[in-house]
Amino acid sequence: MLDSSAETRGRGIGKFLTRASHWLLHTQEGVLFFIVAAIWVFLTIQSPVFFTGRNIGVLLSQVSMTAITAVGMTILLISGEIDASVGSMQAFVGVIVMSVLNSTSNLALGIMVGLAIGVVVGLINSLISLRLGINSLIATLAMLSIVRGAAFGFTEASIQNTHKIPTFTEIGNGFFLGVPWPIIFFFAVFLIFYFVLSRTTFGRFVHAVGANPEAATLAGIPVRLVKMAGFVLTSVLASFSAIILLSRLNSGQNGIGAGFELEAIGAVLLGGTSLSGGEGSMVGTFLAVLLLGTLKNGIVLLDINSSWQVAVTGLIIIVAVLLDARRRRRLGQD
Amino acid sequence: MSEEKALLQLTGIAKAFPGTKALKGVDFSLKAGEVHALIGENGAGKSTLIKIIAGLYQQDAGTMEVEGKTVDFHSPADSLEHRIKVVYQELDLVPDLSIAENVFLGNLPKKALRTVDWQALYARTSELLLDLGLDIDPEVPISALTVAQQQLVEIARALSRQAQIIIMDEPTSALSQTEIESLFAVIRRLQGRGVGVMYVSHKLDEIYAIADRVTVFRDGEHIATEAVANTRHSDLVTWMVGREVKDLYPRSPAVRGDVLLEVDGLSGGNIENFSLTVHAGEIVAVFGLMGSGVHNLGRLIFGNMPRAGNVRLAGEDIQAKAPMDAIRKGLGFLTENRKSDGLLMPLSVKDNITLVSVKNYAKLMVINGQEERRSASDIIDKLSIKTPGMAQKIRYLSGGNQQKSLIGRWLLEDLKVLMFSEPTRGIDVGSKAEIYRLMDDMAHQGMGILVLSTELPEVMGIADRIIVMRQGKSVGGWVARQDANEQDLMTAATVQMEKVI
Repeated sequence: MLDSSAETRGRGIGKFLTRASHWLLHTQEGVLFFIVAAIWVFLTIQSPVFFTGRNIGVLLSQVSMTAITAVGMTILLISGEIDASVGSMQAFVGVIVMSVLNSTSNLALGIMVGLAIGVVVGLINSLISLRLGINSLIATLAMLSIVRGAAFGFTEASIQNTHKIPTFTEIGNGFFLGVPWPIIFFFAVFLIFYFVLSRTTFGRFVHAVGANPEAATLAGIPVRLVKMAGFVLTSVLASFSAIILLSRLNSGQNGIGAGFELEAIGAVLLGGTSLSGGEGSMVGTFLAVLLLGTLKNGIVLLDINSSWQVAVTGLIIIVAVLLDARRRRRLGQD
Repeated sequence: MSEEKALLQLTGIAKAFPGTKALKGVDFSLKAGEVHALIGENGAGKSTLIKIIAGLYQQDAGTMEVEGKTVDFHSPADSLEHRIKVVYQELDLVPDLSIAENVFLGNLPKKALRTVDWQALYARTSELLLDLGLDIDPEVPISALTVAQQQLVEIARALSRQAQIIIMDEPTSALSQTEIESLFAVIRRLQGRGVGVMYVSHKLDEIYAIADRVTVFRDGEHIATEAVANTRHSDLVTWMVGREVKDLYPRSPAVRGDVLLEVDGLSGGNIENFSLTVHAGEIVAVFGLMGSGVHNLGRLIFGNMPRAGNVRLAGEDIQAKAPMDAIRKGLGFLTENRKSDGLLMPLSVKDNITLVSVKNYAKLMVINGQEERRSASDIIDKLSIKTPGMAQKIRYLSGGNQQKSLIGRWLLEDLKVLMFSEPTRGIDVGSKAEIYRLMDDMAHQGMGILVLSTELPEVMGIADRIIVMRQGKSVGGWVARQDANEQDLMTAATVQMEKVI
């Protein structure tokens, strides 16, 4: 009895180890995990500040906006579409929400307006892409300009905080049980949509419409509706990011968020989500965002010229697309 | 073996993929001027072997010799260099380029300044095409050709590179009877010139018509190599399946119940004013040749193509807009292009099987994983789908097992009528009988089955009633096993067409 149960346990551990080593060595998530862990060890050795609660808090807060938008983007990319307009949304939502707050001093209303802009822009994106049949990369690149233009049109200068609502600054800078709010939002959004993507029919349909829209239609899946939900979700989460950013900056700036879309899309691709749709990984996106934050944090800690922070995004995109192309080449031979 | 030296000699070839051993040490040889058929069920390892010869895969073990010299291919270019050409089932031609450009792609005749010598290009292409019995302008783009003509262009391409070994992978799957005849004529001409042809197929009749020798694979193993003249049909089947297939068409008439599917005055695509009914317990087949519109019929009924006319399922109207409505009311549809219309390549076998029924295992959109896995595993057992596990990506399954997964997708739904376009296209003999048995079972359970097919023996074997379609119109109905015979049906399906020509 004892022997056999020990044996089963032994086998169980063995199986776990084989799986774990397969995950580490053969999946993009595993490779990312490995890289992030290695850099963390390196930075911990190099800088006494790195592995402190305060610094990790700063690191995660800084990437929380990118992360929240990237969660929506993961779903959208799996469904076979993309949204490049999320960068300008950071500015447009910011200036509108700040001026609503200034004129009404109603926090709930301000947030509602911000999220509503997300819904509207998401609907416009899906309309152009799905109804008019314009490739979503082109359609949303156009929207990137249009939304940026709208932000500039709305205000020529940045809009300062004149409402002085105390809870407003808490959104981006406050703590809950010692954890910064942005990190809580980030983890909550990640967990919710990890579940939605892997355990719900909507998540399954997202994969199906991205993998083969014709097959999905013939299986009775409302392809356009699913993709539209993806567009709206991405845009709303981008608005949510914008509100957190607004709170952190404490002013609505019409020029903010340039290149933000590249960060979000780059993280999703680096996380192993395919540019051609149908497959992707929320965990991968999480790890990629973590890598992005770690690199930026490391640049500061190691006293490297901080302009390189911007270049990191470009580097990540290239690596991500290379990995994607390599994977597709491998599959193409099957 | 004869003392003649083999053009191609494969010995002990083995190849494994994650979870499966595709080839377990197989032999194959090809002599000059020989047509050597390779047959086997889906998953037998034929495609893997082709890809190894083509340089797309490398074998894990075994040796490959071309004209007595051991070769080691690392890319398709290596294979081409040894004058080996594979003509795949899905042709790899560039549709917008001309025939000539395709034939000499990567090998265009050049003038002094390295510009293309168009005159030489067209002249040499014409020559090659005429040689294959194809009198057509080499400047015509590929997209304007029929599949049969495109295939000949592929062969011309092989000849332009002086190929000595040509491998044909299921070359006749999209060809009509006359086109098949002319393809065979071309193969015989190649044979006469000393080219070795490896002919991979499911269709046993073709083996007898064209091949000198036949090799049978089963489950990645070499079962037999024999001269075709010394082999009986039943031997081949037994070797392929590993057991005797006694009854390919197990149709036993079921009780005919109420009308389930009513199609009235349906028009759309090339179909005009087409009507039919399918009763419970009945298998109705619509038979037509390629291009007759028989394949469009399913899409029209299902609401996946704009249409006029009425479709009712058990008395309820089915909307013309989207398949969603048809499915909700109990109609299922398996198209003839199962790969492009059905498979979700990046997804698992389980997710592919439960694609339609997944909503039934969900409450408030949250899927009950246990229930879903149980259903998928039932289907995998019931249809004996060969997969290392239900989490395996479906792209790693063989063609036949992918097809079975798609059929399984509809078995999990509570359907009244299932439409089945080319139910056994690309399916091996063993699985064919299984699928027919399944259809028979469904009819006995009170479902109605509508088969849309271009294969006459299948229609004759499985249907209770047969409707023949020609140029989008119904040209008559027959009661199977009573007044239907192959000649009448074929005549009905073709007669008009020949007049037009």
